Amino acid sequence: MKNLQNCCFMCAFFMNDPVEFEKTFPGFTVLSSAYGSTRADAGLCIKKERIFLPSRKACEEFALKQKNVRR
Amino acid sequence: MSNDKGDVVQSVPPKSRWTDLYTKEDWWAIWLGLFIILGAYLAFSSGSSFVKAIAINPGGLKWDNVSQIIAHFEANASKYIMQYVFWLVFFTISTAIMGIKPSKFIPSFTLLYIFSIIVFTICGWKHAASFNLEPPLVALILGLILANILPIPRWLDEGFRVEYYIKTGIVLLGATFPITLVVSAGPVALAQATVISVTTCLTIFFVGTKYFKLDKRFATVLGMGGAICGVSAAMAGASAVGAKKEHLYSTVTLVVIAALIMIVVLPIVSKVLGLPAGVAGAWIGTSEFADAAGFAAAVSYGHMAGNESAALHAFTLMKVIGRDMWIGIWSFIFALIACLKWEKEECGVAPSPMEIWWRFPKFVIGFFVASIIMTIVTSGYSFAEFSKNVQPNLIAPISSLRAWTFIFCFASIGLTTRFKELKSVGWPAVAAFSTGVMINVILGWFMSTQLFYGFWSAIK
Repeated sequence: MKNLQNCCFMCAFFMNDPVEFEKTFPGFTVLSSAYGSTRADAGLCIKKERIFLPSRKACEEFALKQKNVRR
Repeated sequence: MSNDKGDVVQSVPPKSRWTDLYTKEDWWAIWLGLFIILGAYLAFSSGSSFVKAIAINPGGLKWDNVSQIIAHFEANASKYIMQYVFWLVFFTISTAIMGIKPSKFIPSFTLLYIFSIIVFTICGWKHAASFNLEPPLVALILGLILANILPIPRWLDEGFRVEYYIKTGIVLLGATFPITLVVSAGPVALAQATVISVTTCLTIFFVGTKYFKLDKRFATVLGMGGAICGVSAAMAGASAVGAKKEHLYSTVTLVVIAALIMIVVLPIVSKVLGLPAGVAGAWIGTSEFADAAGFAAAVSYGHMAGNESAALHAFTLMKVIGRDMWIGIWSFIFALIACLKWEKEECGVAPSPMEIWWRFPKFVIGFFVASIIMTIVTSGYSFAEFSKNVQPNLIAPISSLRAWTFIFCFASIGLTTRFKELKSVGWPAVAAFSTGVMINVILGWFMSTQLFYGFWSAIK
């Protein structure tokens, strides 16, 4: 597995939990699912409101996440 | 950890891809589908009637008065309870492992099961076919009415897992789908799907960016959503190019509305045109976006034409085997373009070709495995033995359980669609998407009903 230390994955603004992801997009589950293979581990940057893969290089807004926290 | 809005966000930790085997519904659909097939075969081999008993379905009742319905459920109550428990246990455990709370899933699935029984019973009416009361359409329309009139709480959506149910059904469909048909018909399906996918995706992208001045990321998401498999492809495209949240949200709205319209319109138009079931199945396979919506249309037309098998087989070849394959390929191509051209500095790393595999809809593997297993198992029987013994005692129970998963899916589509929650979409996006859809439908019609008519009409 590649090192994700300096990627979106480690950022506090990156959200890719499937439960939260489905809640973010009402209507998403009508014909899709956040639990499917096609999503891979993609998530939403709640700072930039853009959708990224967790392996994307960290940007200037990066804020290190200290641990995974459930909402 | 908080951001400046005070929000705390959650990320799923990076995983080895082995964890996908129990955290992704594609794999769970494979495990459940193969478990049912194995169980059905063992029961068939040992002479047990257990699987046949829990595969009971009121859809074939052909009742014409209520007392017949009451008598049927009184006589078979234990079978329905066993069936309900079987589905409930497997779906609850698997969704719990994926992260869905059983406290929400169990009541939701229970309602879905009761709703499905009602739908099957309605469609088991002696005169249902005369009124086009096809199970997918009845489930969809009743579900839409309930979801948009009654205040159904959103937490109930946890059990309305459209994708999970349809994927399980597709794996079970593999058991009744000869692998020889995949081999013989696959190349034509792939060729047609390739033409459709490339043409539609590029049309939406170029029309959207050149004529309607859409953001190229938005055009990518719209293009993939229209060309491959709807919302799932849009999601894959969005993450490949770093699209905005509103791009995906708008595409969800367009795909859902267009897909729902086509579930109803395509079977009716096919009927008006008098298309053979296989031809209509191929056309629906090239025109519908999502697998779930497409199966609803294909099953409906299969019932209308009196040949569900041909419609399902042609649709599956075109959509599941042909078009769905493109999701990883398009994602990789657009990710490359985005990283190497659109935002070279931001992206950091070029996407891995493994993206194609990560995005691959894995349930298709289950479909192939089921098809190969059952083709081998049934190859040792003569035609007479197959018709007399294998068909009613092995194939029919699997088909009936598949019908249940399909109806769970179709009902879930209706029950999760709340029109007021869908985002309003600007006319440039509507125009670009509609242009692609029109080309998709017309090109699909031409290829299915003109270019390859002989091929698709011969599908059994």
